Amino acid sequence: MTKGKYFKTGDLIIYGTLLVIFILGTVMVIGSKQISSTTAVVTLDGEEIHRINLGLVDEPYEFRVETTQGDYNIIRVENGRIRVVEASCPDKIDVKQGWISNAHQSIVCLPNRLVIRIIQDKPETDSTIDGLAF
Amino acid sequence: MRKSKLKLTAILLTVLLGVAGAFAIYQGTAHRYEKHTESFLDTFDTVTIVVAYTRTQEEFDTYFEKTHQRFRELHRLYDIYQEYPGINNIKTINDNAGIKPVKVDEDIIDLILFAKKWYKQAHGKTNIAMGAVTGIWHEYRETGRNDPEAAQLPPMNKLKAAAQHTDIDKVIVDTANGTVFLEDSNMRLDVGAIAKGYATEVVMREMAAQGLKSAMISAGGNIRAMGKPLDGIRERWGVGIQDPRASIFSDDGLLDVVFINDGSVVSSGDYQRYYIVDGKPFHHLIDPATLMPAAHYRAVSIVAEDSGVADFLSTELFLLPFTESKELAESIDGVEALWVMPDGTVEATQGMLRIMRSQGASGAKAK
Repeated sequence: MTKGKYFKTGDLIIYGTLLVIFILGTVMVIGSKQISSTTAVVTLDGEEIHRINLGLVDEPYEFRVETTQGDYNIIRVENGRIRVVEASCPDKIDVKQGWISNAHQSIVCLPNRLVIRIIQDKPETDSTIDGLAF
Repeated sequence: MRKSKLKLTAILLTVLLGVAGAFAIYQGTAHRYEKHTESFLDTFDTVTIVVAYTRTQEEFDTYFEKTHQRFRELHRLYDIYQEYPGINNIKTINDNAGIKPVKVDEDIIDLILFAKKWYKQAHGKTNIAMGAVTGIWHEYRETGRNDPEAAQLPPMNKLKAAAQHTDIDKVIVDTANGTVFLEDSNMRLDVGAIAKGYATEVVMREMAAQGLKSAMISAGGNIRAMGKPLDGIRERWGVGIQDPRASIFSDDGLLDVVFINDGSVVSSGDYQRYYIVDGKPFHHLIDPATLMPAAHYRAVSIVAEDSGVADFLSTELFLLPFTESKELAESIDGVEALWVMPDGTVEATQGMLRIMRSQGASGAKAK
């Protein structure tokens, strides 16, 4: 009997509306945020030739990138990281650099005009690094 | 009566809340600035990365193309090694040393006037008229890198002879006629210490004038940021500073991170360009007093609004002993500096400490 006092039709409408707004709001906020993932973008002479979601790599693999002049880089991909394992360039700076996995990192092979860049598809935070002074 | 009034208020409040909530979500998603990144490799012998927040991909592509175009132009003008058909560049000026004034583009006149002005204003260490000396080092470095077995140091008598031809007052700029003349026929210009940073500043200002609001250009690690990141979250850009002690190839490799708005971060370090002679590294930052690589620090990083100034000062402060180096940094408004000493300890100006991650700074708030 006393309970009836608290759950009148009008009250139910209010609580119902509140609940619906809350659920809708939550869904929209979650939906607007992308799921965090790390992507490697490989460009040759400015042209994007590979885009690899590093988070989805189960089995490590290697692939070869070749320039029109016949120069090459062999790239190895593992879960969450990427590197150059072999290259035809004289200085081998790209090979020596090893693995990269963070958003501010990139591998550059100037002689072969190859760039591997890491993009993080996650919301920026107060500690985001946009560039590297070197 | 009172009860139904209360209910009405409650319903109204709920509706209002709902509208406000929906509006907030709408604001968050509509007309949002997106972060875009693209790079090119064909200027200043390094990789240039452009990061910008724009509303559309097309908008970004337009600014990126313009940036790339301008960098290409400035690279050709400031080149000291290569000739380009139909262009008078710094090499043309060098080739005509002691012969005749060379008519050049305004971008070259501006660069040389900038270099002369800062040479006088600072301690005269960063000298674009040192090309005769740095040219010898360049030659020996290239030979040593291509054939490590044959790597040698340049003979001191050769360096000393070249050092007789480095008087910057003999670089004659005629602004009325738009010409540059090297009075000393053995003099050569080397703008390597400033050209990249100066070009970055020129291009960033042009992009800003054309409407770009939020961007960062990294010309081979020479960073110029403009505005703030338009992600709705941060107030400042985060710029990592490479640790000269760690190999650049280590996983993180960061000495620290600084957070800035409109400004530049430029480093000069012994790790940037060097060659090995008898197992010992010799880098490219040559002290005009000793004609040898300076050994006061592993690296110096500068934060200043103007990227040309930051580039100039990073070399100047690297070549000065610590007391003078620090005094110079503190005497110029809006300039902060960080020194990595030979033993690995870090010194920094007060203003630098305030923007460093290790001291509690973040992208959240501008202190």
